[in-house]
Amino acid sequence: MDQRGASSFGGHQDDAALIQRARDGDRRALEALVQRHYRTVFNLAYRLSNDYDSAQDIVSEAFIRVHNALPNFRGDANFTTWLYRIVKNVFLDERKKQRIRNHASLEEMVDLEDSAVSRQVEDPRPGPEWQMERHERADLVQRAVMTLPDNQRLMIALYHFQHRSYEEIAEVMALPIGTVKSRLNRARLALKNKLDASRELLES
Amino acid sequence: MHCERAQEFFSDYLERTLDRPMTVALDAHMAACASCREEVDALQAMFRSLDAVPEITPPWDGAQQVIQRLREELPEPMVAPRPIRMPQPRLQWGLLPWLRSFSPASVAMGAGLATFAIAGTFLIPGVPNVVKNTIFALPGTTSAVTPTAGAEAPAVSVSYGEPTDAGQPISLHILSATALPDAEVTGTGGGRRFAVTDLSPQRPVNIDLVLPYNEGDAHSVWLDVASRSSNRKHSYLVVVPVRKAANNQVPLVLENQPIELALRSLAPALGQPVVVVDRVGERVSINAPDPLPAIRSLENIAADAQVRVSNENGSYRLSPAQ
Repeated sequence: MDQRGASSFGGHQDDAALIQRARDGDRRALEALVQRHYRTVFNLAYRLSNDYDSAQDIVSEAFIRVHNALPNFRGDANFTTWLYRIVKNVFLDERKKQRIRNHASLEEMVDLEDSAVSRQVEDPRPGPEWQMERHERADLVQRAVMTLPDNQRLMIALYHFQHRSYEEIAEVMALPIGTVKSRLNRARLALKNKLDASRELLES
Repeated sequence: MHCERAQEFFSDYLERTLDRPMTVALDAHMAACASCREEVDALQAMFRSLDAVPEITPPWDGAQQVIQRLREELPEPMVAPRPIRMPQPRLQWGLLPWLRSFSPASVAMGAGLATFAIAGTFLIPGVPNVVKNTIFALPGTTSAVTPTAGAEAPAVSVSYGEPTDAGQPISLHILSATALPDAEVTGTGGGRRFAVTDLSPQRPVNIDLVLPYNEGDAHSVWLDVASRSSNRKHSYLVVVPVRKAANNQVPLVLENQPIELALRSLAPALGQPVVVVDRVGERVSINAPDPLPAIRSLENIAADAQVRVSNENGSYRLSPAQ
């Protein structure tokens, strides 16, 4: 059965009770929300940043913003979707800062990623072959995702790794569903081309 | 239809969400265009690759790191739990021989003011849980027992997965805020005694246990962390639920049971592990969306468990019975 769109920890009502308590200043309720959603949010942040430390920073910053924005949270809204939107904003803000710091163009980043792929291929790792293959494939996919523009990366991560529905992604991205669908289609085609290029590199 | 136009609908085509005329048009294009057929096949293969990307396991104490940052960066909440000064508790726990050398009055006073904390998150079937508990310091314990710096008991977190026929694997992670090179961690769980040494802030001590799950609804593990050089000893009782109790109810048949059994009943009702630190004290905070049913039931069994349950500003407190 397709679980797409199902709340990651199932407890919409549980969230509502915790949010109410957190809004009333109960710090433990906020901490319980962190405990409940940390794993999911960390996974999204990792897929966006490809780095444990950066992912951890994104999650921390996101929950600080959750705390500050709690008074504005609409009780009828889905907390997970709201949380994803905050993570998206943190991620995009971070990327903006990075770009200002590094003056790095997208092309330069792509070059960097490609050379990282070739370096990795030359680096034989121990372990059972199937596991290595699975991890290499996952690495390859992750590296290809990292070469996508930020918004495409977000949508791919939300749909394919977080298993969110188009409706939810539309809410997170603040875009109409039709736009989400057409942009995701373009993101997939772009990702496929990146993967084709990586595979050619692997085979050559 | 041109290839470029067809490409715009590849995702919809694969997900079969196009209307009938568009499906017919795409089918006709695919029949005639080998290149687009290949593209769609490759796209479908990529969907499978994306699905096969495994979930990332976050750092085991990642959630606690986030909580720590919240505590450092956010102003104190308006509702702050207030400690309650307790009379001398009826519970008397075994202390290390080197503690016995202190005067009974100072030990009793320390124990009387000591705090124990219960916290945690939720039992989510199928999802390995990482539960990080906030371990409160022991305010007011005698300075001989609690050193001036780093007064917190080492943090203990519990991670566990679904129960299996072979038992339920659980891991205890013990991380000390200060280096305790001569610390001894001893305890029992799953019918096994364990002993490890050397606690440092950089490296958690991990204890992996496989607990049989056919012995009731919860497991308990007793744990002592003792360090001679810092003159400290902390005792922990970790109660991990095996299954969630229906309707959060604590079975009343457990009335008049000692505290460990009471907590073994509380943990499944809360659906979350319970960690008791230093076993005597006054305060409990429960991160459950609606702890009231469990608490009400616990009140019924608290009589002989030597604990009293009270609700103060939404903070539930367990205190030694008068």
